Amino acid sequence: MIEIKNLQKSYGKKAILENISFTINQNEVICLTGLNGTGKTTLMNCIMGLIPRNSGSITIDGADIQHQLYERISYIPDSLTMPRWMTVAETMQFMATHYPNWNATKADELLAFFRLEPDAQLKNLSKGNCAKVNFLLGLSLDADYYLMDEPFSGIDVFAREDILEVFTSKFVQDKGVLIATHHMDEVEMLLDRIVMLRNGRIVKDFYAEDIRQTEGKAIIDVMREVYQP
Amino acid sequence: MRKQTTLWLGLLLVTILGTFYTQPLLAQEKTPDIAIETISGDDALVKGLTYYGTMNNWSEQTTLTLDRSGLLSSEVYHQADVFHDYSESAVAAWQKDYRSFMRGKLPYQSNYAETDTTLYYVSVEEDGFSLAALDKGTGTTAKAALPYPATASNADYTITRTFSSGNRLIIQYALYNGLSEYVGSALAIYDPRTATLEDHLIFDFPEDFPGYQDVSVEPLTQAGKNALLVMVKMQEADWESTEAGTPVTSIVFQRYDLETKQLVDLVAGADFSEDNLPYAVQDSRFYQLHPSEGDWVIRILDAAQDKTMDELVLQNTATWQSAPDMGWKLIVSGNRILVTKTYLENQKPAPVAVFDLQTGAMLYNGQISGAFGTIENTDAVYFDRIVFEP
Amino acid sequence: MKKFMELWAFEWNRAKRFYGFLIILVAGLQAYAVFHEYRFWKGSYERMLRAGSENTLEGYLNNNGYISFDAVTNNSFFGFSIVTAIFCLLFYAVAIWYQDWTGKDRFSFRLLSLPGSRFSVYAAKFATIWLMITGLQALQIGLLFVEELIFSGLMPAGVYMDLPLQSVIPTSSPLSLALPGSFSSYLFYYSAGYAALTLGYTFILMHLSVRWRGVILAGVVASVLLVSALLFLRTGVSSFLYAEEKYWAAISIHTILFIAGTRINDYLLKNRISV
Repeated sequence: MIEIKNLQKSYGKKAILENISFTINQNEVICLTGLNGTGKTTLMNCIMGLIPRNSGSITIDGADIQHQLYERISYIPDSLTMPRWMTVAETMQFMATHYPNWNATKADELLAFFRLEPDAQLKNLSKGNCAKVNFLLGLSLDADYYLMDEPFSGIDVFAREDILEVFTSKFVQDKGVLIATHHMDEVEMLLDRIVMLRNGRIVKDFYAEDIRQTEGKAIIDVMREVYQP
Repeated sequence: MRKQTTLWLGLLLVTILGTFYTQPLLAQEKTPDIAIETISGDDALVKGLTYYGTMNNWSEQTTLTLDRSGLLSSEVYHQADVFHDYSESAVAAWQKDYRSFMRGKLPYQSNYAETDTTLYYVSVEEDGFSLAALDKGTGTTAKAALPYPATASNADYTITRTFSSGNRLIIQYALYNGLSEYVGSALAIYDPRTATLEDHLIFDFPEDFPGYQDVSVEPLTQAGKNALLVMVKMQEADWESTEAGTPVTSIVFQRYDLETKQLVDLVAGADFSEDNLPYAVQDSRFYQLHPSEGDWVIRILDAAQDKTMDELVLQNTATWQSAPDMGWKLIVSGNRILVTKTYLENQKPAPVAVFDLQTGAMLYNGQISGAFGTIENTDAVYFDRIVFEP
Repeated sequence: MKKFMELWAFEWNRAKRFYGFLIILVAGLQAYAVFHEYRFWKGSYERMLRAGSENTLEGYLNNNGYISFDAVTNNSFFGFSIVTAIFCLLFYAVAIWYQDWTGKDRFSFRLLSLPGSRFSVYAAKFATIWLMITGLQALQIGLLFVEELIFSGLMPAGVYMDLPLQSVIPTSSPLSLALPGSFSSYLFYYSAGYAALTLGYTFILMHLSVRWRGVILAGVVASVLLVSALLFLRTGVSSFLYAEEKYWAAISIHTILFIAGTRINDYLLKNRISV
């Protein structure tokens, strides 16, 4: 379990995240949602130590999160953060070199699944294919947790379908998944839990099935209530 | 490139650089091959003769010490080194022997005076000379401020020599005005025990004089009385002459008695008007090495009696160059006269000889020979200090 | 260690093209300097022959003296090659950080997300710059030997004076900076240089951590350090030390600055850096 407690992040006097506390359990798909600029990416980056937090704690199975523990977390950012001169194979080699839990079999399967050419240079790939490479690199790690930031941002419908299919496949079974997105319509059926942010604070944290059963509402309805009262 | 290759590349580069830099360090330091060789006479006569010299090539300066037993020391300073202690050889020797006392002090011999028991250091400060004294036996130090004798406004002082005579500390210094123009030389005579000024002699330089002034001072002793021999040289040069004319030189000899504080002109000094000749002083006599019809002679001025003594012809100097010049050194010690060259060229031996002070007979004939041709581009060894204490 | 080695190899592979270009440029300029100097001498010698005043090499020597390899190392093209290399290395020493921190798809995300100590990221970049500097120095040693061989072959024997390379190096100021003539000078200048590089990286990491506030803070720290150093030197302490003491004191200060800077950089990278 990844536990975030009382996380605060400010830029000067402007608070971006205030008092953020929630957990990411294994075997759960959690959606972190909110309007644009509400702090989703900032929160993801704070969890990964990519930006420093002002206060609060982040633990993974009780231990303070440290760079040595990043092996257990696979972070898929909102863009393919690899040098554009590299080929697909070179990016895979890079990940394989640095991650002891790189699964080469899984990587080859995903390569075939996404129909990617290993010798293709990243600078020659479309946005959709870059997103697929991004996913390939993230999902080929045998991690316990997958953090995905805006996985569908700016990609075409067919690439989106391919990526969505991954979620229903074996690749993320029994894993803790945190998806930051506001494209709720595309992922609603995949989600176990939803954490809603507004103005840097958590306003709602609930299980999708509970809302469906108790209130008969879809998640998008709940979002409308929260963001358009 | 794989990580092992990167590592090997790094190691290779370190090896190349390491080889480039350690090779000169490992190469045996080329010790100069210099020695005093006896041609005739007993080499016991050059006991107490020590040469202190330096030689330079493209990248190194070597300071060396030499006596009749051979090379006593040789130290190499690399000019590529970042910091250098450019000290004169006497100062370098004091730095070695009295490291703590010498710390932070100027590297010029002119600021120091040494007696059997004490090493004095004098430096120029805002309102006077600063004196530090080291008791060589006990290692204790003392400091004092010596007030400037004259209060010339905007005057800058440069110490040209410091020495001790008759329990007094004598500081010879040059004076410069606010425009850094030379205005004269002076002698300040202090009692170092009480830090008081006993006397002050000024040798003014006339403002419109077309040339330069040089003041030399040597201590004299006679029957326990202490005095100073002062030689004031005025060299006039016709700067506007298109021909290379001989500058006109006048030298005035004076004697200053440290007890009576009287300064008198030495009339006999007129016989010693030739310039740029080696000289030595012992007791109350001034000895000057002189060419005379193919011979090398010693002319003697008795400063106590103000009298020119008989010339002394040095024997067996026929094989030497035709006339002495400032490339030679004359030392008189006891009954002996030492004459030697002050520099040594590669594979050109430099004569060194000892003569009897009374007869001029050559008692010892030798040469300093050196083969430092293997040390690249070393032109000569220059002896900046020669000590003869038989 | 493994992470460091892998990242070092990665950074080195990234730098190879730029470095290869730099090597070609340096070698080309220095080769040109050799022939330029030879042609210059030949021209002046032929002019002298035409003037008819002296028609022998001995006559030329009497007027002009020997020529030696330091004529090449003091040639402006030679000096320019070294100055260019220095500026290119300085440029890359900064670019090696900013190339990963600018643009939309910043590689810094990957680097900082890698498992293991983040110090390896810093060490890999530093080691790459070190490899580039040392590589150029090793290249320069090789080039000096080859250039000297060619130049001495071109020049007539009667005019050319053979000098050891260790003695030629100090006579040329850009060369003596890039490749000091003695190990003690090398240790002094390059310990200062690597300490300065470390502190330069502190400023870069402060900028990457807290942006312009970091730059201002770094500027304040640099000013304080500089003023402290000047005040310290004004106490006259350097005149109290002998040459050897000054040397080792300076080396110690360089080492302290290097270690302190490295630790600060490690702290910034672990706790304060921002993508």
